[in-house]
Amino acid sequence: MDESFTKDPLSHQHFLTFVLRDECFGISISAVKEIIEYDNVTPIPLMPEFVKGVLNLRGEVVPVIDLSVRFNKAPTEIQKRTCIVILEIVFEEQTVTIGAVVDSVSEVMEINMDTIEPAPTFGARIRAQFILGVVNTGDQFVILLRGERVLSVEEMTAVIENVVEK
Amino acid sequence: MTVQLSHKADFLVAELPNELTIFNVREVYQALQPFWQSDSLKLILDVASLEELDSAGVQLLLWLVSQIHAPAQLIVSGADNDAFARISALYALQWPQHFEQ
Amino acid sequence: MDLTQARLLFIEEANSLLAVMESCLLEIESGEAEVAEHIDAIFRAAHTIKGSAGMFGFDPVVVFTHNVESVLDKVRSNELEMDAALINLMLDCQDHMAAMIRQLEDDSVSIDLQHGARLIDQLHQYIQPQPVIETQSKTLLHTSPADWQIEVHYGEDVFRDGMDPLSQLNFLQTLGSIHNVQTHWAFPEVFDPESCYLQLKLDFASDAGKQQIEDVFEFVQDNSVVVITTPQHIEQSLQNIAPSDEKLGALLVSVGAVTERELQSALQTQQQQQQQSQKEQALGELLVEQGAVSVDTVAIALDKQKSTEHKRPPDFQFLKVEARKLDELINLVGELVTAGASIDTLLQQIEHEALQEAFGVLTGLLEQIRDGALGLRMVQVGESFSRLRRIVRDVSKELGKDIELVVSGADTELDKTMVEKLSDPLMHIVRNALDHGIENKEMRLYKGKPAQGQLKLSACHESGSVVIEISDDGAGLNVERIRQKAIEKGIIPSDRELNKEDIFKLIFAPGFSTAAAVTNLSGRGVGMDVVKRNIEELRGQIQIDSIPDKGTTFKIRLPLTLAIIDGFLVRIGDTHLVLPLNMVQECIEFESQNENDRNYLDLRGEVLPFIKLKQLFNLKSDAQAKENIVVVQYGNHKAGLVVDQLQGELQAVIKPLNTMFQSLQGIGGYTILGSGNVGFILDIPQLVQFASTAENASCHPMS
Repeated sequence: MDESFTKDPLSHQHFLTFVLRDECFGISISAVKEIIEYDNVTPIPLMPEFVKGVLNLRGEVVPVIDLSVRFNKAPTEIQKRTCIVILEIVFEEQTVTIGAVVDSVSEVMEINMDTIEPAPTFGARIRAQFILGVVNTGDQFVILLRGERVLSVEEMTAVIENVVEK
Repeated sequence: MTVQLSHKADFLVAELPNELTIFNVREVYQALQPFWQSDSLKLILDVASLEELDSAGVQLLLWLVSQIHAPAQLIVSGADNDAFARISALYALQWPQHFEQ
Repeated sequence: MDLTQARLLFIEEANSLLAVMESCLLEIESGEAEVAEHIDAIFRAAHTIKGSAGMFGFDPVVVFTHNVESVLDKVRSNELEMDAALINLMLDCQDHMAAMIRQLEDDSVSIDLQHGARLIDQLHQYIQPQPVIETQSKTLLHTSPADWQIEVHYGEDVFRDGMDPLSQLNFLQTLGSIHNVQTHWAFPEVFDPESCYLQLKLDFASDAGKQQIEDVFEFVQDNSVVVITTPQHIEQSLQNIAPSDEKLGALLVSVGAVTERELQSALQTQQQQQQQSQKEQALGELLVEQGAVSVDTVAIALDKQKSTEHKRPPDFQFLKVEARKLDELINLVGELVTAGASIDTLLQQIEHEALQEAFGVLTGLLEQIRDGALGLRMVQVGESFSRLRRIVRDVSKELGKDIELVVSGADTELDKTMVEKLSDPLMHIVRNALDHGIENKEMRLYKGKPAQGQLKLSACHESGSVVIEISDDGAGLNVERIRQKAIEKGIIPSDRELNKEDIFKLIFAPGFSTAAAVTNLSGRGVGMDVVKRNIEELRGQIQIDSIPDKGTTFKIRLPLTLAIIDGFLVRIGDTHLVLPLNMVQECIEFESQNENDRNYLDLRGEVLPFIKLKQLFNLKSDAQAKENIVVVQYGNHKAGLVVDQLQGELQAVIKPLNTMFQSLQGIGGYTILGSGNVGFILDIPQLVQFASTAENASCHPMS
């Protein structure tokens, strides 16, 4: 019998895990469109630091966001394994495609939702509202992110407006 | 027999034959000469026996009417004759039917 | 078919037909067009709406429109005259129909049923005894067979030849009914009873064609004169047929106005004239001379022919295509252009002449396809203008002002999306002009102006943009009052010195209104700021010019299209920038020897301010690189842009900025370059504005 029949689909979800500044993060794969190598990102003038630029994804111009900066850390240094995770975020009833820069992509994990622990109120040094929860995979902690908060179009737009109009 | 001319009281009556068509209009025309050339003041054209009539015949009758000038008068009698009435209606013709006093 | 889809189609169709109806009525009202020119289009619009509404069971629409249609039908058959009162009523009916259609679209729209009933009552006064409603559209087909007029001068030998006109009358009676027979007998001095002197004239009511009627007289034709006059309904059927490319003769024969014989005879005469090298007469003229047709009929037929040459009726001339399909096509063409550019880049690297030549041909075709595809989206601005015409009419009536609307350049083409989005801002400006701009009659006469106010609407192409001007001959803007108001409203500090232009710009500030009295038309103080925003969303600018007591002019400048532009590519460091080619005047080398703070240079005696894009956009580049200046011009403004390298022309498919970057100034969108890199398309007017604000800010630090 197929495994999926025996499991409550809600109780198990797949997460893409990736490394950012030596920490392991996870994001629900339902939002992940694809993963590409970091290449050909065109910087946009006058943007705040978290905006790496834009990328030509088969004709579509996709903004690329430096997650590290979003998490108030130093900008990501582009290396061989640097990747861009292309995510689809729902904003005002429309799907917006956004790329997020990560140091490296690890794997896709199936996580039992019951094993997810609430985010620590402090210690992660990331805004709590970005975090869905933390899961212990045995050898490490994985911080599961809320994609729509981390890459909130509304919030980023406001930040950019502020920077541009100053 | 073509046209029967007769005097009745002070009327001159012309009785038309049962046919008045292109085939006998000339004949009838000639026979009628005494009729329209007479001095009678009251002329009666009797069409009651007409059975066959065509446009040439109608034309002759109309011409006759046009030849009679006051004080002479001409009326058509027997105008309720089927053939005559039908054709008069088609051409929308009015015939004098009463003498004016 | 999906019903909601069909319903939407109906609504869209009905709306466009209502628009046709409206513009036709307005043109008749203003005297720009004759009733005869448009009545068919108006009738057809009403008829089609009724028919489609019936299919969907929108009974109220059917019932109402039926009444409208009946009145229009009477106008069409010349039983009714389309006078000012009727036009007015028709416009009201058109409004009511539009409201009913809106309700189908949006349940929350309420309809004034009493108003509808009143309109129907008024319509009935025109229709008179006709019973009220007959839902089936049978009434259309019911046209009374108007009369033919037949006149025969029989030849003298007709009787002798054995023919009798009576038999012809009898035969005619089998084809229709004869009325008003008049006979005239042309008796000569010498009467011959065997000769025929008959001249016959009659009216003949029949659906028979002319040929059929003529055949009745076939045997007398040789020595008689037979004249058959076309009845009015033939003229009408001529009116009603779609304009065709057929020749005049064929056209007349096809509606039964002329028989083949008459045509041949006329053509023969024409040929003879030609052979005898006489001056050839026109076919229509000959036919009239022959008595085959009336001058009027020929005139109508000629008109039909003309209308094929010049214009088609305003409806049914378009192929309806779903906008989405068109957008997809244009997107694909965009991709094609981008793909073409990347092949071009690759071809530059290998040297293969034949391949490059072949590709050159392909590029040429690509450009044509691009222009063609973009052309599909282009519509005439007239569409927006005609809506304004209605507003001018209604508003001036409401205000009791006599205002003439002068429109020019309505055929100027603009991207469909823009025409749609322009509609609202134009409406606001026009309303303002009617309401506040143009004075009432007494005031105008007092000022020595003509009593009738004038509002001008014009559109034209100007160096790659479309310029739309709305100007009135009213009071003009009161500079002092605007300033005062802006101070009152806290928009500017009371000590701020501003020049005239800047003061005019204040009316675009949110919450600003100069109206002394708030009317229900405008003056609510919302509007002008929205107008400005709408125009800017279209990458356009709006300017005001106003002279006291002479009037005010709003000038809107818009790009031609939103999709693809011919661009000029430049580079600063790794950043690629695209300038709209039509704004590029020339390129000069930048002499950076004068490293002072001056941001202008001497261009052949002219002062040319320039913008150092590297600084403005904070871009990194090798300090050593030689710089260039691209001189750009838009409207009356000229500026220089300092860049590193000039890279030449390209076709740029415009991709809008992502939502989060909308606040970016001076950059209007992206384009994907042949190399696959993303380039930024500069919005020159906005860029200049941005640069001058930035400079002002650095000169006068904010307090």
